[in-house]
Amino acid sequence: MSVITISRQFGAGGRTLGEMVAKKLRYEFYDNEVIQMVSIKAKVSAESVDALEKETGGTFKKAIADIVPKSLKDMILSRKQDTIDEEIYVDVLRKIIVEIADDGNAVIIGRGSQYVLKDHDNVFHVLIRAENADRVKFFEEKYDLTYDQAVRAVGQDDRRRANLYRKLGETDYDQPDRYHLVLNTSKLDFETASELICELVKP
Amino acid sequence: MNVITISRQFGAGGLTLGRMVSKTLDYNFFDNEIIQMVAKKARVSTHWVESMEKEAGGKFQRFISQLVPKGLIDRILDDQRGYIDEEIYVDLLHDIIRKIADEGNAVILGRGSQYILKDYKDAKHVLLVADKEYRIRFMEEKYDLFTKHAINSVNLEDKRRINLYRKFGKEDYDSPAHYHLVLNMSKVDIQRACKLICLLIKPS
Repeated sequence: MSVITISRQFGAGGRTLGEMVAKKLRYEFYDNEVIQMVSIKAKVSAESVDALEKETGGTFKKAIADIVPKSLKDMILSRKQDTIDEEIYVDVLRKIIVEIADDGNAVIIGRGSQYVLKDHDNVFHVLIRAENADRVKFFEEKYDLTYDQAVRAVGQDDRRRANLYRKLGETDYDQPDRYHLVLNTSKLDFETASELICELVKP
Repeated sequence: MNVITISRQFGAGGLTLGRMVSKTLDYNFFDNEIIQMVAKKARVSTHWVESMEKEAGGKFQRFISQLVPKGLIDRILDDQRGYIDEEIYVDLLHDIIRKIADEGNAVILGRGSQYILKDYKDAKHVLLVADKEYRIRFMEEKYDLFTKHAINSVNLEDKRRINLYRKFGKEDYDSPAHYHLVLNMSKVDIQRACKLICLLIKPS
């Protein structure tokens, strides 16, 4: 019943790696957007954070199944709206992340999950980082953005990330001592990086 | 021909882990031997080189001129300058570490090897961090020290490390940017850490 949190600099390949790891380990995969949408939905349907606590794993999973994801490209290019939502839903996010962790066998991308779950047993925290130039290039290629769009997206997301962590009262999110493992995808290929993450949870 | 450099905060278990990794991969392990090689090449005593590493930047020359009569240094060293200064030391270190890397199949502990080999294609760079409590406890248990001595040694070595890197003109040695992998030894046990490092070389 292990959980892996993957924190990352935007464009370092955290999502791609997270998907690879989840597939290899047959874990559930929860990325930013999924958690975000669930939290919005939970807020809207339950009208209060308290009600969410009463929801069981079962309803939670059903909630996810109902969601139709927007294209990733649209998501990335419309970051601004997400930022406003984050402010409202930080409390809900915390509760949802704890719920996911209690379910176990999950890979969680971002959302400050390394802080929310920092003292949980069997939770492993990984940070994925890369050089700025590589992050821009990654976004150009992976999401078919122009160079300028990619530069803007990386810059915006660095600010968004700093903002989210500020709300959680944390500033040391790029410090290695927060994590079990820090992987540098400017130096490591994804296959090796995903092997390393999987090795963390092997018995 | 692969080479692994292991940089570490003092007391994070670098020596123990470096030995484990080199044994697992059947690689040669270089730690203080490098100091001896430098000493031999510079024809000074190992003690000199060690003292020299311990001394901070500009202090070194003062230290040498105070302790050793110049005539003696001239007899021992064939260098025109007549003494082993920081530049010569760093040059020798570069030479020797590159030679080790060219031979391949090696684990190198510390000595700024992550900077010297930063552009080596087959070099994998690992950093070991651990919180201070862990490092002090590690020194207590591993080397059977009193708590007071363990705390002192950790503090002293932290300073020594800063000084050595200053000679390389580096201050960002704990930044993940220089490394393939950063392992937090307060959170990952040493056997698993060994496996993780070996995976860098032999992805299964």
